[in-house]
Amino acid sequence: MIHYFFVIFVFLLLSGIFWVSMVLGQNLGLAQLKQQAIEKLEVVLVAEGAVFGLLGLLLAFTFSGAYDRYELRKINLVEESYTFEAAYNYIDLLPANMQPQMREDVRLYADWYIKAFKDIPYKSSLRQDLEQAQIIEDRIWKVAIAAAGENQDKALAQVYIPAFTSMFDAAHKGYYLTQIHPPRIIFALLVGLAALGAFLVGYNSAENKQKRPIHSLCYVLLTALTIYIIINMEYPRLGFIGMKSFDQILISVRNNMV
Amino acid sequence: MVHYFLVLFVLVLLLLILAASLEIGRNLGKRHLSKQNQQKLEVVSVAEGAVFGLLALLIAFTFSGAYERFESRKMHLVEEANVFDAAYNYIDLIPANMQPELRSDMRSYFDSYINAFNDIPYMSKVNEDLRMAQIYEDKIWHAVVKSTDESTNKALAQIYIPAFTEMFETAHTGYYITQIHPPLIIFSLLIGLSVLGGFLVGYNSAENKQRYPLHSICYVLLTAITIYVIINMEFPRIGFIDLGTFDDILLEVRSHMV
Repeated sequence: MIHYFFVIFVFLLLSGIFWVSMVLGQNLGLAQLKQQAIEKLEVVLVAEGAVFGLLGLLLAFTFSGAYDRYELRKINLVEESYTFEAAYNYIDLLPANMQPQMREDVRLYADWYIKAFKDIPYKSSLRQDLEQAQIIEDRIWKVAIAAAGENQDKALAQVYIPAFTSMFDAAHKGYYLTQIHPPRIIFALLVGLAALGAFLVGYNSAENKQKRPIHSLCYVLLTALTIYIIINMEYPRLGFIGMKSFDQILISVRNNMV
Repeated sequence: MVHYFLVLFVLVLLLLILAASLEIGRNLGKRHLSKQNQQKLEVVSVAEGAVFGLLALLIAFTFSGAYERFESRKMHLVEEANVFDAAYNYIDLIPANMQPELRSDMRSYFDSYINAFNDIPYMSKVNEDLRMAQIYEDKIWHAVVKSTDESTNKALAQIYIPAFTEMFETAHTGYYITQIHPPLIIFSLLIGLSVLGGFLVGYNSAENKQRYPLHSICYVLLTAITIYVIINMEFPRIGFIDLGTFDDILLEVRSHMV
């Protein structure tokens, strides 16, 4: 629950940073107007255009990257559920005496991964889930190898052994994908640029009579909200953008493992 | 350590070049103003718009390309971890008397690749690591082929031989993709256009009384920092952006290889 508050705090923090930058810019502008006893500030329009053009494009590309990764995670959840289902079905090809234990282990394996996704905000629980999943994975593998030894016809092993490997790969990948994010410097760059933009907006607004012109407030809100949504998409399991409908696919597959 | 200074030096150099172009542009603008004895400079706005539009798009696309390559390196590390893990598991299918040596060679092979990644700025060390990796690769392959003679049932070999081939390919690709970068001319174009932009910003700012208008400083800072971040993303193992968590995945897989 605490991570929801943390995510709200990020939005407030971003709005606060941009607000302060805007106010600082406005104060600088006012000071210059007063100092030079002029009505209009001197602005290099071409530089201003370049700064905001670049900021807009960087925001758009980071947004698009975050959305692509979000989609990729969803697609992998679908793939993951298929490989779990296939591996569970292939247990029918193992010698009959090994099947009950193997079924139990694959169910447990799926359970630990489902739990790991839920525990993503809590590092120590997550680590524990993954360790448990690894123990079960080793057990599944040993039984699969032993089954290949017992089977008279090794052709069957050619079918089910790669299926178990695919299940392990998809499960690992599903977790690793939750860890792929842009380097922190990208977020720093984005926040820094947006703050610089807010500073310029504030500076330009010093000429206005209104203390807080509506356009400046719109800039602060829009930029903070966009960066906030980008961060939420990058960390969907921490924020308000969840992956519930896609987690449900995996849970349904698990529920069918009877 | 020396490469960190090199990367910092790039940022300082970019800042200096852009500041110099700004200054040269401003001086030229001043000269035009005083020669023609006028208050306003003659500016072809459409050409100016084209230069800055192109510059912003070029920066944005190079940024996006650099980020995609950065991410594909991470994704490849995930794949690499999975195929190494799978190939190591498949040793269980090889005749028992050959397993201990093959396991040891696999560990050394993996270590050589991890060392190569860690040594990346230092090419002589990297080449030495890759040479060692090639020696282990040949040894592993010979052992794998020999195991098919000893194995009574060739069906199992059909499972594990492709796994080893896939591991070799993935390991090679992992190194090759660290070498994929845009041609040097793209970076030259990017820096050249930014310098041209700086020159135009400086030229336009000649009308201003302030020697260093806020907007011009913002242009220099923003462009230099963005290009610097792009270069850092292109060469993640050299600069301040690293593949930390993802290298950890390889180390984690390595720690399971017992």
